[in-house]
Formats: sequence, C-alpha cells, structure tokens
Amino acid sequence: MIDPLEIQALADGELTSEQAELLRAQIAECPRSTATLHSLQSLRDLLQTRTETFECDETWSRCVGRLNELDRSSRIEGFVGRYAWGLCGAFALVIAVGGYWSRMAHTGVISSSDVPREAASMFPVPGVRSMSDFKQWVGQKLGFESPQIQDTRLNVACVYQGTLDGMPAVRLALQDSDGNADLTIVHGAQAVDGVRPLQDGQFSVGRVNGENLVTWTRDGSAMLLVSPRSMDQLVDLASEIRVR
Amino acid sequence: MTCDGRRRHGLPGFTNRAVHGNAAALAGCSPMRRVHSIRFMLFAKRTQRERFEREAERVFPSIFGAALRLTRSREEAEDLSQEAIVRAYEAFDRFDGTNFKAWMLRIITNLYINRYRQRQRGPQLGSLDDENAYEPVSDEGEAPDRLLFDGLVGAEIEEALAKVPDDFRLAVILSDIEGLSYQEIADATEVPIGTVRSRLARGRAILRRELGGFAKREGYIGKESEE
Repeated sequence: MIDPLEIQALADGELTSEQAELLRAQIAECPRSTATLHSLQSLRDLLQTRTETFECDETWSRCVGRLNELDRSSRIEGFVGRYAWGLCGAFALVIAVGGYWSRMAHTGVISSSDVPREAASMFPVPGVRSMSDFKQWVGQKLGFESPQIQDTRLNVACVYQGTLDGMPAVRLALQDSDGNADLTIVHGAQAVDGVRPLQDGQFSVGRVNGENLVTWTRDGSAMLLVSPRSMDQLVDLASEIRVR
Repeated sequence: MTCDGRRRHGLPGFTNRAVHGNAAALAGCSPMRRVHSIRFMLFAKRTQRERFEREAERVFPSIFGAALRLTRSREEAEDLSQEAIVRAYEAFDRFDGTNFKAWMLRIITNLYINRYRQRQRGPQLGSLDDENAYEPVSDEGEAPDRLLFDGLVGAEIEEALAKVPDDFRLAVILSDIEGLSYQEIADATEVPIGTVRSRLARGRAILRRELGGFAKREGYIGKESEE
C-alpha cells in the first residue's frame, strides 16, 4: 500500500519529476492507489473549475476609497512632520505679532476691570490729608500737574501710589456726607475700556466689583470714580469734582 | 547623490523606504533641488500606489472569495478583505516581489486567524493535525468521483465546503481553489508542512464525503453507478 499522503503530494504537484515518475509506476500496479489518485484529481478539478465566483466590484471600490483616505492622512502627517518646526515658528510669530499689535492698538487705554486689582497693590502715601497737599505731592513726586480737583467738601482719607498698565497712578480714598468713594487718577491714559458713555458725552459709566464706576478724562489723565452709592449720586459727585 | 532620488534609487521599483530615505537626504540641498526632490517623492508615492492598486485589483476576486469562504458571511468577508488590502498597502514596501497573490492570501489568512478564530470556543482542532490523522479519499467499492461530482453546481460545492472544519477548509481553499503550494500554505498558516499535508488530506476527505452525500440526496448519481 502506497502512503496516501505521497499520492496526495503527487496530485498536488509537490514531487520532483523523478519522484513523480517513480510513484506513478508504483501506483499503476495498485488499483486502490490508482482510485485514490483519480479521486484526488477529480476533487481538485472540481474545486478549481466549478466553485462560484463572487461579485466584489463594490467591495473593491470601498477598498480604493480606504486607500485614498490612507494616502490623504499620510500626506498630511508627512507635511506636518516635515515642516513641524516651521509651523511652530509661524504659530509663535503669529502670537507675537498679535500680542504686539494688541499692545500697540491699546496704548493709553486701561481696562476698568483691572482697576480693583491694580488699586489693591498700590501703597499708601503718608502725610497727604487735603487736596492742596495732594496737588503739591503729585507735582513734586510724580512729575506731572495734578488734575483740577478742588472740592473742599470732600475729605481725603488716604492717598495711594502705584502704576496701572505701566502708567503712574494715584488713588484717593475720599469721604463726604454720603459715604466713601475711591478716585483713581491714571496719568497718560487716554480712555477706559469696559464702560459705556452717557448721553452728555462727558462721563462714561460701568460696574466694577459690584460697585458703580464713573470715568472721564481730563488734562491727560483718566479719572475713575468708584463708590457703592447710586449711579446718579456718583455722577453728581463726578460732576462736582470735574466742574470745580 | 543625496538629492537626486532618480539616480540614487532608479525607476521603477523604488519603495517607501527609498522615499523616506530620500526625504532624510534633503537636508542641505538647495531650495530648487529640494523642490525637485519633493516632486519626485510625490511622483514615487503615486507610482507605488498605482502599482499596488494594479496588482491588488488583479488578485482581489481571489482575496474576497477566500475571505467569503473562510468567514461564511458577506459582511465579515468585506470587512476582512478591506482590512487585508489596507494592511498590504501599508506593508507593500516589504513585499519581496515574487508572488503577490500568495502574499495577499497570507495576510488575509493571518487576519482571519487573529480576528475570527479567537472568538471560537471549545476544543481546537490541534489533535487532528497529527500526521496519522488521515482518512482515505476514495474507496474501491464506491462510485467513481467523476460520477459523484458531475451533477454538482457551484452553490452545492460551496455549501459542502462550508461544512468542512475551519483548519481543514483553510488548507483546501488555499491549495485547491487558490493554487498555493504546501510551503506557501505553511507560511500563511504558520504550521509545519507535515501539518498542511494532513490537514489537506483530512479536509478533502471530509469535503468528498459531504459532496458524495449531497449527490446521493439530490439523486445526481445514476442507476448504473449504483449497480
């Protein structure tokens, strides 16, 4: 009996021509082996010629679509990888230019929301107890002329000195019969952000830390008057300070 | 040459490695040469894609047919064959250039083994991989296979094939339908050649029995053969 696996190897074409010839001679003498060989060949023929062919055009189209996606993402990754430093540099440049532009465009403009934070960091100036003391001190120490604030009705409780957005600033803690008010004077500021102008055009109003705010500019300085009193009262007080 | 990919790598037959190597070599080139080299890389990439697509389209019916016969589900076969194409495209630079169909069948076989057969539970067929686990294909007393198979149509053959257990069916598909050699099947399925031989023998025996049973049930065997 010939090894059936040898017969199978012959049918599958896995033997050398010498081996195949030798085996064929042996198989010819054995009817059972001959039947096995024919059976194997019939089965191979059947599977090679009579199996179904399947429709796959649509699947192939989808494969091509996936290859396109793969190429596209590969191109993007390649571009980003190749020019990563350039892209980072360009991005940093955009940020720097944007920052510079923003700074230049807002020169002389202070943000009302920054006032409480900046005012808190100012330090007190001792010995200034009246408007005349204040005017003298501003001229001597800060090097600019004090704005015209001549209200004798208001008491100066304390004066604080510091900077706001890099500009010299002073804060006066004022008192009158209606309560306390803070007047911050920023020298060199041309305008205040975050406030809306009143109809008269002289003042702008807004809110800071839950308190009312009235601002105006005069003599090259921006004035910010903050107090918990009503907006009308605060505008009246601002008018008195401005007019007098 | 560092910048001129054409002279360095030659055309055609460049690979992804060549393209990436060329990219690394771009540093230090003049802007004009860089532009030329980038154009060349894009051209090389496009040509490689065309070459892959041409080869893959040619063998895709076989790939899809094998996937369908392995998974026995059109949806899963579509998924498997698409995955195989993507994997092959990504690894195309590692293709040795000899037998693309065998290489693709190897990829899809590996994918099938990894993705689908891991889901299977219960005893594996390893015990049947024994060299001695062989069933005779034909018996002297039986009707000749020519008579058994004559009346069968494609759908019936596919149905009988689907009844063959996985490992055996895989060997039969790769050998008898796709025409791979024992060595190529052994590479694709990552088993020794001896195991391939025994799986083939076993698979064919089971398939023949299924086909014979089908032919008898459907009355394809004539009276003369029964006599």
